[in-house]
Amino acid sequence: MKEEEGLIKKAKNRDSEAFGLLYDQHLPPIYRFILLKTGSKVTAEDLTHQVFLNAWQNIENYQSQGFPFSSWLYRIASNAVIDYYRTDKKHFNLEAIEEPAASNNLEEKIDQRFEMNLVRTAIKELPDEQQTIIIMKFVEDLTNKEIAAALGKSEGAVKTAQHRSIQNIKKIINGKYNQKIKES
Amino acid sequence: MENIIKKLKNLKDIRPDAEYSQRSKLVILATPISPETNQDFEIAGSIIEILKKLRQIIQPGAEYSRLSKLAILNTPILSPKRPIFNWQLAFTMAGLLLVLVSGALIRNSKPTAPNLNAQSLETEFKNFNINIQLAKIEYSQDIDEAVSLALKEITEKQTDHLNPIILESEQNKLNSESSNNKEIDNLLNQILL
Repeated sequence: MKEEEGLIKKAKNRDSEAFGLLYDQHLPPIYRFILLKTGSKVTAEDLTHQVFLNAWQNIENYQSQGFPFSSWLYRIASNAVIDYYRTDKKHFNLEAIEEPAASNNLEEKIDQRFEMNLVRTAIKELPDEQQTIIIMKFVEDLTNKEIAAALGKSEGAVKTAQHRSIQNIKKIINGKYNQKIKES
Repeated sequence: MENIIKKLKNLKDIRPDAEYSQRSKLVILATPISPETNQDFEIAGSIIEILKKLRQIIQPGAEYSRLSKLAILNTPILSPKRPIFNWQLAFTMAGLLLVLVSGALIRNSKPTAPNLNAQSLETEFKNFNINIQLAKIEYSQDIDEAVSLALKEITEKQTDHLNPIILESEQNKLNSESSNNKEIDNLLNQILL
């Protein structure tokens, strides 16, 4: 945390090397966040680039106030996604996402892919704020404090929304799963 | 009418084909019941695990990361939008404010410094006159005392020291002692030199 503070201080003084290190550290979670929200690899790459460009150009406006740098980046990312959907409503395209399979067994690979797609589509069906909470809490393991800072909400509100989000995603996944079973 | 009712009642005798019934019954009973409730639990329980796996699976491409970083760091920084500070306008405004404030001060004739207070000045002035008068009285008193003393000396014949004959004799006496003085002067010169 202190190391990050030092990097931020340097980046504020236009030290590109320091910002490069911050970029390396925060790129994967921000990319995942945008990819899971948009479902398109190309869009995720474009928006992620835009997020970090905005961060680099406006880093002097960042004030820690006890919250990590990631909360600030997530906020920029959320706004970027909102703007993206506001200007041009795109379709969620799961097929565009390519991921390395975690298993070598073909059957397991198929199962994993099926489950992953099920979960991703379920995330997409959640309301925007619940999507964000699910990604931040369960994919990225952020604390409630960090999520609250990124969303500009209280920790209590985040806890409540988190419970509601997980209940909703379970309901959506079960519905989709049963439908697929029936179809097959 | 009676005929229609009779025909409708005859519809009651419609029966499914026995062979069909048997076959259908067998197929139905042979079909496994889909374990929906168990599967529900299984998939719901693993949601969080799947979500966590997403973290490992979804990663930005290395080439994309490298190029994007290069592009960002090579983008010229836009100068932050700061309000343009007009010094000329600031000085003009400050001058105007100064004029307004001083004007208000002049109009409101209450002086801020107690030394400039007219009332206190008047009091001081009055006291000043009194002091002068007192000094005058003191001077007059001294004069009066000197005059009365002179008059007293005259009346009591104590004015010998003013007698010209006595004064002259004293002068002569001093002159006669002047030789001694020369010697003293010489001695003093020796000491000094």
